[in-house]
Amino acid sequence: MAATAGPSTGSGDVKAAAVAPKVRLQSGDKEIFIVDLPVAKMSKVIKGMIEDLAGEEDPNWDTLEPIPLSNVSGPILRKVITWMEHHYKNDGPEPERPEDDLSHFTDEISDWDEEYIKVDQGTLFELILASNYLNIKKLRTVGCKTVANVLRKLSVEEIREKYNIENDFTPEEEEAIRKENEWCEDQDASK
Amino acid sequence: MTERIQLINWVTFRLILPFTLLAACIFRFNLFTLIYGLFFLLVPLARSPNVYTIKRHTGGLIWALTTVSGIFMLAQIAFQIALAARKPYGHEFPNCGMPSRRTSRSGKRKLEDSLVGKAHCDGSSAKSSNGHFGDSDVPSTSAGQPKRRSMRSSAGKRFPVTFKTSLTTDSEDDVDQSSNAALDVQDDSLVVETPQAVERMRVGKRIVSGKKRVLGTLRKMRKNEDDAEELTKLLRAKRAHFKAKSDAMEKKTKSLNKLQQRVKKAKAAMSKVQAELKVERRLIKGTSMEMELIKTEIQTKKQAVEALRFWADRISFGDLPNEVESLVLEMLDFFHRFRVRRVCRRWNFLLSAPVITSHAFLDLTVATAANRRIYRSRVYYLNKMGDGLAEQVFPRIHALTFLCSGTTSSDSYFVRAFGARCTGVTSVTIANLLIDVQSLFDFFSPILQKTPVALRNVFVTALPPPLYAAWPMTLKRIVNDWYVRLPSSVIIATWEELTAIVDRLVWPFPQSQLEWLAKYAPALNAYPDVIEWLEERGEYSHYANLISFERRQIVCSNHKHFCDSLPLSVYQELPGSIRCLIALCILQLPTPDLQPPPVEFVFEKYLYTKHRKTIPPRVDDAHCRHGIVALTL
Repeated sequence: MAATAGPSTGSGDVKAAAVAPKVRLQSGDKEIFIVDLPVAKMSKVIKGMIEDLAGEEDPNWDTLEPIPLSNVSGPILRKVITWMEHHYKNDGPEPERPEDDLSHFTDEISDWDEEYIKVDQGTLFELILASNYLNIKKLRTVGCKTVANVLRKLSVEEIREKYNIENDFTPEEEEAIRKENEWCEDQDASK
Repeated sequence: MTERIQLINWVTFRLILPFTLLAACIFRFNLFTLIYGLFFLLVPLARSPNVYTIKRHTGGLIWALTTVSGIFMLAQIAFQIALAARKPYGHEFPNCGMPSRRTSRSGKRKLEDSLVGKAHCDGSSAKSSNGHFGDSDVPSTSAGQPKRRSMRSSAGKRFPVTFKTSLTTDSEDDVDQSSNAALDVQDDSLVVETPQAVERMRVGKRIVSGKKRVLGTLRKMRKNEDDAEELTKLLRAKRAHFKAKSDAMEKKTKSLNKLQQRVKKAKAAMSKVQAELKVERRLIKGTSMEMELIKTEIQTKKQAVEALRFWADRISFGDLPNEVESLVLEMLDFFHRFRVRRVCRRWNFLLSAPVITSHAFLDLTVATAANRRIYRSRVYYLNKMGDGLAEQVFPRIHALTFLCSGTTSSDSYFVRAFGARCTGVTSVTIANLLIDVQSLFDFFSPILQKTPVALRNVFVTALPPPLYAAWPMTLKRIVNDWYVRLPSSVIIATWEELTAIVDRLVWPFPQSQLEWLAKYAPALNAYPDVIEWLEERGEYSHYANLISFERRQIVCSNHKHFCDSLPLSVYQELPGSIRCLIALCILQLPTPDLQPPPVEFVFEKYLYTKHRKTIPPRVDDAHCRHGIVALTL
């Protein structure tokens, strides 16, 4: 049902309102987003909040006060909502998975996600933080994988520079670790 | 003092000036006399000069008088020059008597009277050159020449010409009084004809002695005269020259003026252009200033953007919660986990934690596609790291996840390589595997001996590509276009389970079809040797390749009925491939009730664009995530 509502990120769709109840989400900078209920429920945090706020079986969704998501800024929330709407439309609600399921390691990043995640570094980290906060595992995995793919291409020094990480090893310690892991540093040398 | 000056003024104005004017009036009898007379009458009317009157009528009168007399003098000079230039006139006085000479000299008698009108007395009459005639000697000499020549011709003797010049100048009104010139000619041969001349002769005789004394002086003067004449000539020449020069100068000046005008115009134009230029420069300056302003603005904006980007980029691992940071690091594959330990203490710590090390991914794509050498070297290193690492790492691996690249032979090599070392593995996940039935067992054999295998996204073809052409239509379609996706929910724990699954794939005959197979079993039973059976059917060559195909022994549990209907001795001797062929042959029998076997597996169309992506064609780090063999440590 929500799939037919279309991926409207911000403004409310009057027609769809009759079909699917809408919830309003308020970002950290007081921006209001109107989202279909099942789409919003992809985030477990929002789902829990809705259940807390609504309480009863069939609440009046129009009068329900906006759900405050103070840790997420407006632009990031818009992007997250875009992701949720796309994946709800295409994949349906995220299936429950057992805790020890390792599929998120092996799952590939889909083409859409790959295109979606092509953002600058700051936004990428914000997305990861937002998805972690909103408890959207799939998006978080996609973000983490993207970061990991970047890390994979960089040398240690480049990682330090790019992510502003201070090298807090003493030279001796670093040398020891370098020697210990020498076998995995030969990627370029052995070409 | 002032009184004295006033007195002097008065004397000058009231006495000297009137008398002078009166004298001028008396001694001249031409038009000038009238004017002087007029002034003479006017002078008494004016008040004597003092400080005030000098500015008014008196001053005007004096000024007019001075101007008029000055003009007259200039006119006289001009007249004298003109007169001297004319031949008939000269300054030689004819041999005249004293009175007439005096009157002529003093200007009382007209020149015409003495010269022209009294032609009869020309020989002795004295021609007077009275006051208003030239006081210069130039005209006299020039005019005198022809006369002298005539005299000489007639008498053969030169007549000395004497000048007596006296010049008195009125200091007040600047009127030249007179200049008298006396000329006496002594000549005995001259015949005096007129009574006047007789009288004059008498007088002349009286003064002749005095004249002789003067004669020497006169001669000297004559010499001087000659010199003067020459000088005059020179002067004239020079004047002419000068005139020519001045003309030239004038011309030049004119041209110069023209040029100057042009220059002026040009300058004006220049100034205009310069003004325009100035304006333009100012404009340019203005625009350049604007440009600079804009530039600075752009720069500041850029800086702001840079700063923003800088801060945006600063959002980094430090801002992530621990679990998220760990998650990111977990996504790294096996090797990179060890590599990035060197970044900082925190990462070293996180990656050393058992939680993290339990999910290490191994990048088999790189290894299997083109960088096999690298991967081998890594394996070599892993082998070589006898000094603790291999012993530390491999025993801790309890689960392997292979994200395969699809090139099964090399994949299986690494599966073996790692499977042999990972002694503590309890479960293996196979993912992204595209494999044929034959290779499947090669692939699984080293693993299944130890641990159950979970399948994810594993596609299996029934036969390797060179052989599938021999298969019947239905299975051929499977081989050609459709890869059977092994069910992901199944965990294959034993070898038998794997064979059962593959068996079901290869022998996809449900219960309903088993009866159908059993119906044709007797026909098969008649031929203990399948090759013979095939030969009889004339299709041996067609299937020969398949028959020689080495396959593992597969216990066909799902076709028990079929197996039972066959003689067990025959059936058990047959290799799996032959049994497969038998079934195929049965399917190929041209029986009317032949139906394609219903398929209980989900067949998924193998789309190149979709599934090929799981098999990166060449080494590219960007594609690493597609074909990872995950080593779960």
